[in-house]
Amino acid sequence: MSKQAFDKMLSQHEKVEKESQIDWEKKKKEWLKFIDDFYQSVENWLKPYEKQEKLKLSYSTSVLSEEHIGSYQIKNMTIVFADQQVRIEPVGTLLIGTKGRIDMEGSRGRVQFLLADKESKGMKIDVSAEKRKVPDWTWKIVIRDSRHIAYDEFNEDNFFSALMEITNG
Amino acid sequence: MANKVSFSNQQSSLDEIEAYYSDSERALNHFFDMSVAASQFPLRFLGYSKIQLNAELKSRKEHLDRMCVLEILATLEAKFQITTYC
Repeated sequence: MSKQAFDKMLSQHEKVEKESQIDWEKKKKEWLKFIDDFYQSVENWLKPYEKQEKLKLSYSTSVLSEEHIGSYQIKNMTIVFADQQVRIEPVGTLLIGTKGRIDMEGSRGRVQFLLADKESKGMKIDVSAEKRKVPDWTWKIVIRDSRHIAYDEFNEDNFFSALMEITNG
Repeated sequence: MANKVSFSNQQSSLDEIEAYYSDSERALNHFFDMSVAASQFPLRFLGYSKIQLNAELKSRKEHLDRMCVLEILATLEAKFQITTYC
């Protein structure tokens, strides 16, 4: 009976895979583009400080593995300034409720950046997708508490606020 | 000696602990059972990867194990005390 159930599960999974026909390669490329856009924004905001040699930006590569997409290389950013080190790492694109997430971690905590709909301000309690329009994906800064999630716009001011929050600033 | 010791007799039976463990484990499996493409999900799972979800489920189950083990120990201890003093 267990073997039959196992066979059935495998067959159902195969059927779902064929029916979904998702272009995973395209999804990966879109995700990598979002990461590049993110880093471009951060670089632009930090460039003046880098020019004054008040901080140092560097990149390293690591490998992410995600179901269906497989393994692929991504860039991680490290920002060093005033005896602080902040690391920015893409987490993935096959995530619940979002097209992608990047985490920024410092000595005092971590901030999450999610791809959310441009007009979204946050979410309350449980989330259900009634008939939602196709999101206009854009980066947002996540603010969580026990009852809801709010988004801050991903802009220069909010980015620096987040940076201060996670460092001894 | 027996008169100086009071027993609440409120400890759970082993059957009750087993039932609690079984129900809780099923509830956890159900709560954490979702695909990343899910259209409905608890808010706190927003942004979670499958790996994170499974890691958290594992952590909750380990916590459940510890809690139930402690309760079993409490039940056994109570039984030993009752046996010793009565």
